[in-house]
Amino acid sequence: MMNWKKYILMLLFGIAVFCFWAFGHRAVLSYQEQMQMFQTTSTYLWEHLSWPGGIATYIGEFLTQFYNNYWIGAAIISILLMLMYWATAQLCKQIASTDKLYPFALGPVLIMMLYMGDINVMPSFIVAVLCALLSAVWFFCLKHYITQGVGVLIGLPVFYWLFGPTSLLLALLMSIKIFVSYPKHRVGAAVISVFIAAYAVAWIFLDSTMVNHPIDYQFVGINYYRIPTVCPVMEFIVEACFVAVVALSIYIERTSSYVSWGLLLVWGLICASNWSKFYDSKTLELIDYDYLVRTGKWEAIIKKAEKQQPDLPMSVAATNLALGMTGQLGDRAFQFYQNGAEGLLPPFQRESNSMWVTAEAYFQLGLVNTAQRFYFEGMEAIPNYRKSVRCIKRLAETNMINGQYEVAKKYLRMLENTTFYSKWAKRTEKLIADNAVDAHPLYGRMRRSHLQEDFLFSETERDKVLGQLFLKNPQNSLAMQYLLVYPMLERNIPKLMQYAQVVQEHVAYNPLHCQQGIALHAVQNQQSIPDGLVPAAVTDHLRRFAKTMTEQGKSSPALDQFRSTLWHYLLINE
Amino acid sequence: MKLVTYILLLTSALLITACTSRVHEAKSVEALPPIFPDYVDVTVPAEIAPLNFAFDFDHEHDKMDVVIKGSKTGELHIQGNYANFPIKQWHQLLEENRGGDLTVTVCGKRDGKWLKYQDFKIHVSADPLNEWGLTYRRIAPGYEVYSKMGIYQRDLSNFDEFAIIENTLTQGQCYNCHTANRTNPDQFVFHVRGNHGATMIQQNGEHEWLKAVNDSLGGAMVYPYWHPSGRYIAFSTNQTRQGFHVVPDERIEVFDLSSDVLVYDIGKHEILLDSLLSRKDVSENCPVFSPDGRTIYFTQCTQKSYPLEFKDEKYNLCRIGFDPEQGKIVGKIDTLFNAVDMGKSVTWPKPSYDGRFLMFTLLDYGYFSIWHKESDQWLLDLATGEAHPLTDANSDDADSFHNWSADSRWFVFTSRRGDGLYSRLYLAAIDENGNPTKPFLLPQKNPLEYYDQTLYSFNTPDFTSAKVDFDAHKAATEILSPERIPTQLIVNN
Repeated sequence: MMNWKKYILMLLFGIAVFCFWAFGHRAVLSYQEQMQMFQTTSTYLWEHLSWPGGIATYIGEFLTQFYNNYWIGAAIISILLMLMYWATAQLCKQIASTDKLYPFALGPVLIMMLYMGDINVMPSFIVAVLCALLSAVWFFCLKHYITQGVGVLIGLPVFYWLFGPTSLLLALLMSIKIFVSYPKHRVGAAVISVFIAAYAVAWIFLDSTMVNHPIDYQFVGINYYRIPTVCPVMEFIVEACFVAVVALSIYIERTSSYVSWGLLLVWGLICASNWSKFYDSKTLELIDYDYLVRTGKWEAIIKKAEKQQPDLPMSVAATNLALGMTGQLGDRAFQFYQNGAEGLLPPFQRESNSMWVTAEAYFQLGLVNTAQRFYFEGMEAIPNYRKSVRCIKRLAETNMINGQYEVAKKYLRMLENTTFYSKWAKRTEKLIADNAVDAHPLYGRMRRSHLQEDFLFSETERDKVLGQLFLKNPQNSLAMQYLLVYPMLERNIPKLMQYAQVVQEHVAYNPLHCQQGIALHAVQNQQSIPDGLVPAAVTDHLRRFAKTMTEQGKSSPALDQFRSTLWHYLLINE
Repeated sequence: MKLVTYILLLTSALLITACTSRVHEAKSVEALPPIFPDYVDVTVPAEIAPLNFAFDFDHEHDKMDVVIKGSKTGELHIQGNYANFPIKQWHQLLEENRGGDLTVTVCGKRDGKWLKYQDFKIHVSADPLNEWGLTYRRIAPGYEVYSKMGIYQRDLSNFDEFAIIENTLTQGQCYNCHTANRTNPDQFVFHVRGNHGATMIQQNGEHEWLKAVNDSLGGAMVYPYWHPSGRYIAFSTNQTRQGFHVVPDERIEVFDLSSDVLVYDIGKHEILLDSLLSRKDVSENCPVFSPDGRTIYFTQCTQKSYPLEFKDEKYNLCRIGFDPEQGKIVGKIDTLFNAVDMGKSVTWPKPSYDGRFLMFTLLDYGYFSIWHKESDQWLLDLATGEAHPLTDANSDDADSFHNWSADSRWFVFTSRRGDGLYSRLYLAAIDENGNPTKPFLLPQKNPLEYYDQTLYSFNTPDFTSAKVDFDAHKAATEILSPERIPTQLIVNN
């Protein structure tokens, strides 16, 4: 009876995990996938064998590359956690000799799931924990003290080198087994148990000088957590939960099976009460925006922003880029929260994701060198020194557009050694071989937008760079929109008048916000509003806005109806 | 059982023979083999690691067969995916042919047929390489953010590389300008940049960590060069900025808002700043001592308004006297090589240790030559004052930072001739008349794969006469500690 129940529970858990990642958090999968570049070469494998835990990283990265397809990614996580659950339940069963602890054994896996909400938890940690549990399952099957001794003395150091410091988890589980297996020799078993734990710690110290990482980081685990300078306490709590569940199973097996279900409820409540701490909505929102920018889903970005106003620099920049890419920036920019000109092109920050969104904006604008710089810097800013497949792909493109074919080919050859980018890389390399870059719709267009006059890029004069891009290629619609909205966001109406005139000399483009700016400028300078440039509806709208503001004051809720106008941004949101 | 053993032995012998069997009936090709690295007609020291090579990516073959014959004696034959010479036999062959030539015959198998390319020669220098290996920094050729990087040493007789220190130990720090005294690893200096910045000076196993910035000086000590006595180190102090080009052919510009040259007295912890080398309207940079320690060579340019006039930042090569007994600058500034008159700029002056020549890099403007495609190596004859480009060593891409071997017969430099971005190390010999040989790329076990897959640039290379003895873990603890030795500024007007 219990047998099928436990598999039903495991299956339900697996389905829930799959749905959670596939439907709710696919952007996180994309985030993890872009923060590495798994290579299918033997060199890459050998490289990973050179530090403790390298194989856990290798397997973790191997699996993470499949996150490129979120259905497969979600299935992988689901299988890993189900295996983890199975192994924990097996360990409990071997200690307590009963199946009724199955609900209770799910607890630490739920805690692991909670911990995975932290985007810096690396898949290698999940792999390493799973391998420790599976190794413990194998060890628990050893009956003779000699095989157990060999398992400890040889197994632990080998495990440490392959999978890292979850060898401590394995050692503690081994200690429990030894302690429980020899009830007639409690003192001796206790001494051996302590020895096993000390032996595992000693190996970490022994190996520490062979690796160029601080000893505390080696205890945390190289690549278990993305940021080496952070000590993730939760990692140790997760491991402690697994040890605690196995150790406590001796006592819980004496109780009713309802206790096991009750304890599962407790685990569930612990997770639920801490859920928002780990699955931080702001972080997830940014990752979502980054994912949409990466995949070029401009309409989806706008829909997302319509549902909830973006209010972080990166989400504002992503929304503006999406508006620009769909030709709506000049008409709709002020329907959304704006944080100044930095909302168009955020300044340089040492953080990968925000740099990549900015890089994408520069790329789409045709400022190839600056896009290249932001992509490169974003890759270098990855805290655990990995390289990014997303960046290498873009760097191959920017170098190709710039005519730097040898570097482009170097990057493309690297991508040929990946599973999911290989075909693209071969196709793109053929463009170079066939001398067909100029004819490519995107690369050719960008090449034709190249600035000819050299100067050093200035963060403080980005509008002038936008002007140069537009003048070089008046068909560059994104540069044109950014050029006009830039002074609006800077609250500089005279500059807007100047830029609007330049634009209109080349292209018949006069979007709504530009009309609003022209109307306001005329009113502020006591000039008549030019009919040809500003439709009567806009003029009437401005009159109503002015009247409401004059009669009811700036703080009047009645001004909310003008929230999506340039005037509201300039005069009310000061 | 014996029968099985014999069969196994026979099969193995057959397999080995089959793998290395001579090529018969190869079709001759009237061209040199398209190999990477280009080792055609290079001159190497007998002590160098095997010059392994492969067919380049544009000329892939299924198999390669290489026969090397010494002009005096010996022969080496290998067959495989690439030319991977056994180290011991390689060294034996080169030692037996010191001062002679090696003739290399390369065949490639494609579509089941062998092609035989034209033979080429590798010249084995009669001059020994009296150095253990190289030291260099490996870092991604980036902009402002750096990921994993470190200072490394490489045994030149084989492919062993060892980290002297990597920033994974101290997380977030950047190390640079590792400089030994005349390739002697007992005396060296390097800088740590970042939150735990410092200048580290090691002498005979003892090291000290100086405060990164002297407040009176208003900056850090940069670009070190040892006085031959080991008592002083010449530095510059630079207010460095970076700019980023917008045109496709250019990437980064490094320029100084100001810079001065100073001498650091190691024993007294004193920075000696002379008014002649710290003028407000002039940027002095890249100081080096002459081998007798009585002259400082440096570069200087008229201070411009940056970043607008960055293309007008052009340096001349100058010199001034130094009195090591008094620890003072003496005499007047002499312009040794007027690059500004040529519309050019000089950087990285490095005198040969025999005092005969001075090598420098010439570029169109500025001094950070690795980002300048046009930069080339030049040699100044210190006896005649005449300078000429090292045409045989230069390339169409950036050829930059260099250093001499202690006997002044070899030099190492960085170049981007490989792919235009990732700097690699090249070595060449130089004769008594200042003529260089064709440089060769630093050998690697599998060079095609190594250089293609690496995302690091090699920079600031130097020879080292022995392996550097440095406890990186202990150093990391010291870097992360706040303990630093302050320096005192002594200004001489």
